[in-house]
Amino acid sequence: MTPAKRQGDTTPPAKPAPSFGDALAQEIFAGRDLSQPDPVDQALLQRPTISFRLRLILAFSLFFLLALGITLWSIRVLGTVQQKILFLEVADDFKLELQQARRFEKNFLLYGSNLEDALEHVQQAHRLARENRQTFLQVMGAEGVITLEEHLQQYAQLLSTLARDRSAREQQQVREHGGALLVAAQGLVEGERRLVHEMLGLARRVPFVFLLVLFVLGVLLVWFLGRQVLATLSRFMGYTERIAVGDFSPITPARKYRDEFSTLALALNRMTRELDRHHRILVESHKLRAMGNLVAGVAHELNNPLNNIMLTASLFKDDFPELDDDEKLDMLADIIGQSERARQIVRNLLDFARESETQLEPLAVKKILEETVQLVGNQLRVKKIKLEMNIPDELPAVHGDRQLLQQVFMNLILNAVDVLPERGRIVISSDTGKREGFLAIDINDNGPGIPEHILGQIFDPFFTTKPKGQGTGLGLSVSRGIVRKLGGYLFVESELGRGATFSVLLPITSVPATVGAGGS
Amino acid sequence: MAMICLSSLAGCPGEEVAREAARLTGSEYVGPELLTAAATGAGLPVEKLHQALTTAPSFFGITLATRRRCLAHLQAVLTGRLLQGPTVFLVPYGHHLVRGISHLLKVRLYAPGEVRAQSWAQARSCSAAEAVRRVREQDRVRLLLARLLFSADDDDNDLFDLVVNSSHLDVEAAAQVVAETATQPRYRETSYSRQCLEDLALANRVKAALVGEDDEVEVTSSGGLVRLRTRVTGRRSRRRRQRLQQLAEQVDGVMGVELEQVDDLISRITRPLR
Amino acid sequence: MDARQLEILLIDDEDIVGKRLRPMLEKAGYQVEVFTSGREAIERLARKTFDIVISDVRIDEVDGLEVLAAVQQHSSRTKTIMITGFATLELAREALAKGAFEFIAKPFYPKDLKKVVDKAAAQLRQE
Repeated sequence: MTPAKRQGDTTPPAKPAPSFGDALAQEIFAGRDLSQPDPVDQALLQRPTISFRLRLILAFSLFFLLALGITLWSIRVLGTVQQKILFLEVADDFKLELQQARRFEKNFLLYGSNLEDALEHVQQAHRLARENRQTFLQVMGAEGVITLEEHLQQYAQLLSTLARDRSAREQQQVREHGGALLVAAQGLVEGERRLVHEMLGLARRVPFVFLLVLFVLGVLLVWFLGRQVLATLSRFMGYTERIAVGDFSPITPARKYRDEFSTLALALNRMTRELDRHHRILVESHKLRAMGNLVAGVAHELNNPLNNIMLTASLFKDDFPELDDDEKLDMLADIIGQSERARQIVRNLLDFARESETQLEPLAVKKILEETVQLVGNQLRVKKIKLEMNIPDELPAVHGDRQLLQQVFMNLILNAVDVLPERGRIVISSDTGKREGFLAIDINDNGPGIPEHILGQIFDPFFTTKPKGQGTGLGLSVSRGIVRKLGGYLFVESELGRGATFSVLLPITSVPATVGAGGS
Repeated sequence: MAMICLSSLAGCPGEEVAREAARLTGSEYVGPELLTAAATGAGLPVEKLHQALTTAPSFFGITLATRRRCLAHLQAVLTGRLLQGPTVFLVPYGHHLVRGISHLLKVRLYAPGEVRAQSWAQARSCSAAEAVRRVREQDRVRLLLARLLFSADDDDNDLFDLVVNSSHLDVEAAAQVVAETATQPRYRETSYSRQCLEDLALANRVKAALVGEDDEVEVTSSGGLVRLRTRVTGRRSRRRRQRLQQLAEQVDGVMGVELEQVDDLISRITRPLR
Repeated sequence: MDARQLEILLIDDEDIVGKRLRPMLEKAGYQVEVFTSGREAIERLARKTFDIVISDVRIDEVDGLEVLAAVQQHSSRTKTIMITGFATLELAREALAKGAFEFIAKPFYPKDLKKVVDKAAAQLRQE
C-alpha cells in the first residue's frame, strides 16, 4: 500500500496577514512613484547614524589611547628609575664620604692623625647633601633632610672640637653622631635601592597586565560587535524567510540608530515592494484568466433567463389584444423574475471580477464556497460533475479576503473539473481539527490523482500538466501565494488512481461574534 | 446542396476538386473572383492582395497592417457570398477566415511533397528541382503567414473536418468523397448555424469598414448588435474610438454598437514569457 | 396526408418555455404536451408516438441527446428539434448526426421556433 503523500508548508509564517492592496489598480498600471519615499523607509532613515565603521573607529581609538597611556606611563617609570639610579650614585658617594670620614675619625682617635682628612670628607658629604638637596628632600622628606643636616653640622663641629679636646666624652659623642649619620646614609641607600627594585618589578609586570587587559578588551569588543552584526544578520535572515513565505510587509526600524544594515533594509523594502507589486499583478492577471473561462460559461448560463424573457416579451407583444389582465400580469412578473435571475448571474461574475482593495475581515467560508460553486456551475454541468458540499452551517469565521478566497476556491474546483472525467465527483468538506486555530477546507475529487513524481512541483509557477495553451501553470502557485498571504496553508494529498484532496487551512478569526459578515 | 471550404496545398488539384464537388452537390464554386472583389473593397490591385497572402514577411515587404486589411475585406466578401447560398470555395486561408459555422465542411486536400512537386512540374512544365523548390517555399510561407496572421499551425489537421490525400485518388473520386461527406446530416444547415453565419457576415462587414482605422480591432456581432474590442486605448485616442463607433454604425444591418477597450494586461505581462 | 392535428412533445426544465410556447403552438393548430423532466418525457415517449419533439439539450440527469436517442428508437419519422442555451458547433453537429431535425440556439423568438415547427410539419405532411 502506498501511503498518501503530503506536500506543503511546514513552517508557519512569521507574521499573519499583513496588509496589502492599497490602490491596486493604480500601482499596477502606473507603477509606484519612487521619488516619494515610503513612510516606513522614512522611519528607517530618520534615525541617528551610528555606522559600523564609526563603531570600528571608536574601538580602534580606544585601543590606541590605551596603548598610548601605557607607553607614557612606562616612559615616566623609566625616567623615575633613571633618576633614582642617579640619586643612588649620589647617595652611595655620600655614604662613602661619611664612611671615609669615620675611618679618618677612627685613625685620629687611635693615632691622632688625619683629622683634616676626616673633616674634608665630612664637608665633601655636606656639599653633596647641599648640592642634591632637592633630591634628598624628595626622598627623605624635609624632616629627614633637616635632621641629616643637623647631624652633619654637629658631627663636623664635634670633629673640630675633637682637635682641641680629645676627652672621652667628646670621643663618645663623635662616635654616636658618626654612627647615626652612617645609619641614616645606609638607610637612604637601602630605601632607594628597594624602591628602584620595586619600580623595575612593576615595569616588568605591567606589560603582562596590559596584554591581558588588551586581550580581554579585544575579546569583549569582538563579541560585542560580532553580536551586533550577527543579531542583525539573523534578523535579516528572518526577513528573507518571511518574504519567502509571501509576507511582504516592510521592514520597520528595530534599533534607535542607523547603520550600514539600514541601507540593506531599505533595499530589501524596495525589493519586497516590487515583489508585492508583481505578486498582485500575477494574482490579478490570473483572476482575469479565470474570468475568461467563467465568462463563456456564464454567457451560456444567461441564455436561459434571456430566452424566457424573449419568449414572454415577444408573445406579450404579439398577443397583446387577446390577453386578459391576469395573463398580462403573469407575463410581466415572469419577465421581471427572469431579469432578476439574469442580474444575479451577472452580479456574481462582477463580484468576482471587481478589482477591489484587499480587505481582511472575518468571513463565513460557507457563503463564499456557495457563491463560488454558483459561478462555476456551468463548468460543472457541462461535464455532469456532481458536487457535494458537506459544510456545516455553524463554522468559525476565518480571517481573509472574500475575493481572494473565492479565487482560490474557484481555482481548486476548476482544476478538479479539468482532471475529472464526465460524471466525476467533487466533495467539499470542512475540518476544524486539522491544526489548532485553523479551519481546513478540503476539496476532494475522484479523478486520476497526481503522480508522485510531480507532486512536489505542482505548486511551482509555470508548472502545468494541461495541453499547451490551456493552462498558464500559475493557478496553484498563485493560490498558494494568496493563502500564505492570508496566513494560511495549502496542501495536497493524492494517491494515484484515487483522486486528490487539496486542503486550504485558514486562520480562524479571533474576533468573535461577526460570523456572517461574509457578504458585503 | 452543401457548404464546403476547400484548402489545397501547393501542387494539389484544388480547383478541379472544388469544381467537381460543387457540381456533385449542386452548389456553386467560387474562387479567384472573391479575391478580385476583396481587392476592390480594400482599394488595392489584385496583384497586391495576392502578394499579401502569398509572400513571406520581410522588412521591406508588405506591412502587417496591409495584410490584415486584405484579409478583412476577403473575409467580408467571402461570408457575404456564403449567405447567398450553397457554395464550394477555394481561397487562401479560407479555413481560417470562416470559423464556427457547423454546416461548413472544411476539407484539406493533401499530398506528400514529392507528389505535389511532380504535378507542379507537369502543370507548369518546369524542371523537377525548380518544382520542389517552389512547393517547399510555398509550404514555408503558408505556415509562416498562418502563424503570423491567425496564430495557428496551418498543418494542424484539427482545423479540418476532412483531410483527403489526393495522391491516392483522382479528382472525381476525391470530389466524391468530399461531396458525400458534405451531404451527411451532420453538416446540414440549422437555424443556429444560419444565425452564426449571419452574425459572422455582419461582423466581417463591420471589420472591413473599420480595418483602415484600426487594423487590430476585433468585431463580434449577435443579431445586429455589434461589439468592438479595440486596443486603441487612452484618453488621447478618444477621437479615433469615436470614429470607429461611427463607422461601425454606418454599416448596413448594424442595430447597435458597443465599444470595448482592451488593455490586455495578461498578454502584456506574458508576452516576454512566451 | 390528412389534416389531422400534429402532436408535439415539448421538454424544457425552464417551465416558462413550456408555459409560453404551448399556447402559441396550440393556436397554430398543434396539440402540445409539456414536460420539464427528461425522464418523464422518455417514459411518455415509450407509450406514445409524437410527430414533433422539441427538447432542450441540457435538462436534468437525462439530457436532450438521450431524449433524441429515445425518439429515434421509437419512431424515426418523428422530427426532433433541439433547443439549447449552450450551443456550440460540435453540439449542433452531434445533434444532427444523431438524427435531430433542427438545432436552435437560445434565446430565440417564438416566431423562429414556429417557422421551424411549420417546416417540420410541412415535411411530415409531404412524406
